[in-house]
Amino acid sequence: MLGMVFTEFIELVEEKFSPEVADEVITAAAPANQGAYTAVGYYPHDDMVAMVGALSERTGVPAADLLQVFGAHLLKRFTEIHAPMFAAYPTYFELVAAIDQHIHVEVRKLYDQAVLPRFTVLSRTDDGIDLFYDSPRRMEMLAVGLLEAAARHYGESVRISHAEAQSPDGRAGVLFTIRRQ
Amino acid sequence: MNLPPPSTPPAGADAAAALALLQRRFERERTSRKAAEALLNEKSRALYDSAQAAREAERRLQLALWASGEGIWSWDVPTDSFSVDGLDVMGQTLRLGPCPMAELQDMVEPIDRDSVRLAFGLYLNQAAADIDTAFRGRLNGAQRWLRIRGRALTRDDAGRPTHVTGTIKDVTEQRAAEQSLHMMAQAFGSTHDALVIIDASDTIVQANAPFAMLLERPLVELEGGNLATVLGLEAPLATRGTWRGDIGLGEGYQLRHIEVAVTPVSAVAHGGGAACSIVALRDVSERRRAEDALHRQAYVDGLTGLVNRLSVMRLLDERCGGGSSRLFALLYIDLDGFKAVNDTLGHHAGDALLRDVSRRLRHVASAGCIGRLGGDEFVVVLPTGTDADEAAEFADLVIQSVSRPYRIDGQVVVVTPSIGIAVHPQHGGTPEDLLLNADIAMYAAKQLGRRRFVTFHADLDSGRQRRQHLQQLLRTDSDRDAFTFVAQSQFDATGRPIGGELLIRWQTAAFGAVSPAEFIPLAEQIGVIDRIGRQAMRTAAQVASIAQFMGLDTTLAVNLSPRQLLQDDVEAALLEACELARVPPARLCVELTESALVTDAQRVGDLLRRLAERGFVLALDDFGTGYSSLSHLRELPFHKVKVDRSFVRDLGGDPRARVMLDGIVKLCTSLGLAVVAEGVETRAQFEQLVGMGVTQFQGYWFARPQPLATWIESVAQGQVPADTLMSASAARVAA
Repeated sequence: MLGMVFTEFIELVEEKFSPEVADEVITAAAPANQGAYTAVGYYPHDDMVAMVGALSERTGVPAADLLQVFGAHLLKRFTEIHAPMFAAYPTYFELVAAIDQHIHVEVRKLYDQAVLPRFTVLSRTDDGIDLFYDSPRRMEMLAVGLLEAAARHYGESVRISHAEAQSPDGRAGVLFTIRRQ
Repeated sequence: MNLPPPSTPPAGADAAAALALLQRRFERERTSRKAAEALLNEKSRALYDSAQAAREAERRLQLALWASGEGIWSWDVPTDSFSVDGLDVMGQTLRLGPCPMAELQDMVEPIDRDSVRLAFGLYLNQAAADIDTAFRGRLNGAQRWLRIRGRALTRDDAGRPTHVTGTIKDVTEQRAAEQSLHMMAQAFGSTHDALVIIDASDTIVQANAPFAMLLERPLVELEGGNLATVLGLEAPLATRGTWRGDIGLGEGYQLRHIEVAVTPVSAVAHGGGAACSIVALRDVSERRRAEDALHRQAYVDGLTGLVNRLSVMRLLDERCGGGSSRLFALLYIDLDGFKAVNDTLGHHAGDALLRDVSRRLRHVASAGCIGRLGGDEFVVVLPTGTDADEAAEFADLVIQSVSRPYRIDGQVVVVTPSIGIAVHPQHGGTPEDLLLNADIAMYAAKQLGRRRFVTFHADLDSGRQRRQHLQQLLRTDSDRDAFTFVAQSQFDATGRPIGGELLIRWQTAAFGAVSPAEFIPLAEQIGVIDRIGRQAMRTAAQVASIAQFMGLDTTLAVNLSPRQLLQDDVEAALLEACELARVPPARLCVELTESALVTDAQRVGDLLRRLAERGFVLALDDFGTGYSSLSHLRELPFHKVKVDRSFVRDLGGDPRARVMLDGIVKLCTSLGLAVVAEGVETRAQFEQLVGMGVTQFQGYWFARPQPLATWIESVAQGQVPADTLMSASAARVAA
């Protein structure tokens, strides 16, 4: 998993809770590098699962909610770091449709070892889009947070629902149904 | 959703805990910074390596393009900007554009413009997977074949190419080579010669139909096989380099001679690897047979299969070469009586006899080299080490073997060999001397009575010298008409002279009187027989003229040799002689032997008929020894038949000779021919002959040959009581 996800997560915990909570979460999760993450490195996905679990336990907030918040935080960071990219997609739906074919292609140019989820566009209209999410890590709530925050960035009011599903070619994953409201 | 507010630091937390937290955070930050630096270094190195690799790849691409003579072209479709770089044309690197595509198309020869447009059009409309076309273009003023290949580098959303790039290459030489290869392939397939392409391990890569025909096996069975094995060769072919040789294919009578030429070809590579060889095969059996036949013609006697004179000379050259003193002997063999067989039974029988003699010689002389020098002359070159004694033993064997009777065309024939032996080096150091001396010895054997051998010795050479000398004398004496003539009378049963035979005499200062039996064959050999013959004709005519003048009832016979009878002017010469002497042809009797009829019976027959019409009397001489053809007696206009003197000689002792003679006389008499008996030497013979019905006689018992004047006188005396005419005629002859 990209180091940036870890550094942003720790920053988020420090910001939203406190440096002490962040320290406790790290200590509790006991990652191999003792929490010394750098944005340009790659780290085990299990570290993130452990830290989210530790935070949830410490705060009493369900992990899914934590991930959704984290998704929103990440998107905000993306808009700051990759503003030209967002500028290239004039509408929310265009951005969402382009995640797999364009955005992730650009990500790979920077992080060639990145393991990225796949977002397959199943259908698209002027007011909605159906996406099939497919990731070995199953962090669909992180994706929900990202998608909701992106909609807010574009000023779109959307309803996002998700459900377990199978892709047309038989892969197990999650179907995101996004509709303008 | 909102997160719960950050927990406040525990009140009263001691500063130590806060400090510990800060220290942990600081430690994390420092560790992560170092990790980031390490990652950065790693990324930098990777970036550098990647840039280096890219530069290397670029350099390799450029090198590959340069090596292949290819240039790069690039076409940006939306801006219609076309450019070419690095195109190598005849050693010059060209750069074209950037320019609109249309300008490039102007460079294309009109004949190929449509096809180039089509290739690009199909590609732009995604009907073709790539661009790959060849066309003729005009570059630097010369027409060149160019091949252009390319693919899209980028495409628009609809998948249409927006930037196309690829390679361009001058393929003029390649196309020429392809065409040449195509022609070669056609030649390979259509030539009548068997051609095979083999790889370095003799494997047949490709072969043409004539090769399959040559080996009488299907092509599919041969391809992939090993050529050396297919041809039954032990040593491989491909490793011989350029090689030419002959091999035998098949066995026994099916053996064929195959000429094989191997040519290594580096240009034709098989499977992109090892060099190949082209192997051409040609069946030269026919040619070899023809060569063998020529060789046989040159060195072998066609009739007998023995070696010929040329081969014998080569062998002798080899044996005598370099003044060698190697001992060996040779036999020079001549068949006695062969001519008679030829004359009486014909050439076919003569040839058969020669073949039979050859077989017997082979049988007894398997160790020697037997050759036929020509005619009935053979030579046997005995093995090295054979001395005169061994040669003599050997000659005895030959005589025993060759003298046994032969059965030719159902008839029993006997010939005997006369053999001359010469030994190297004592009888001659050169092939010519050896053969000459063996020939001289053979001649001596004949002189000594035939059916024998004579080993050469120096005295024999004098016989040869005598013959040479006589030949010289003959030349000069025939020019001078230096021969003299005598006549021997012929009588009827009452003892009355009825005619005579003109006989030639030759008196030489060096050798005294030389017998016609010796000098007539020599005169025939050196071609002076015609002149001598004319002298005889003229003399006979003159003598006959005198006899006529004297009122004698007589004819005078003159002998014509076979050679004379074949002369164009023999008839004219006879008539001229009669005319000069003013004597009718009926006063002359022309005598000839049957051998004259063998060479050209038709021509001689025609001549005899004309002579008979002119009035000449015709007599067949020596009847009963040679041909003795009854058809000659029946068909040709002979008036007389002279039976051979051997019959008369054998009358007393050989009852069979008497029976035969009796038969001949009866036959001739019944055919209306007068029979003349020659060589009558005793009264007993005369009486016996009279008893048989012979009507004319010639021989010593009656009269010896006499000078011409004496002869006329004797005839006159026999016919007419002595009167004054006698002296008058004598006076005329003397004049």
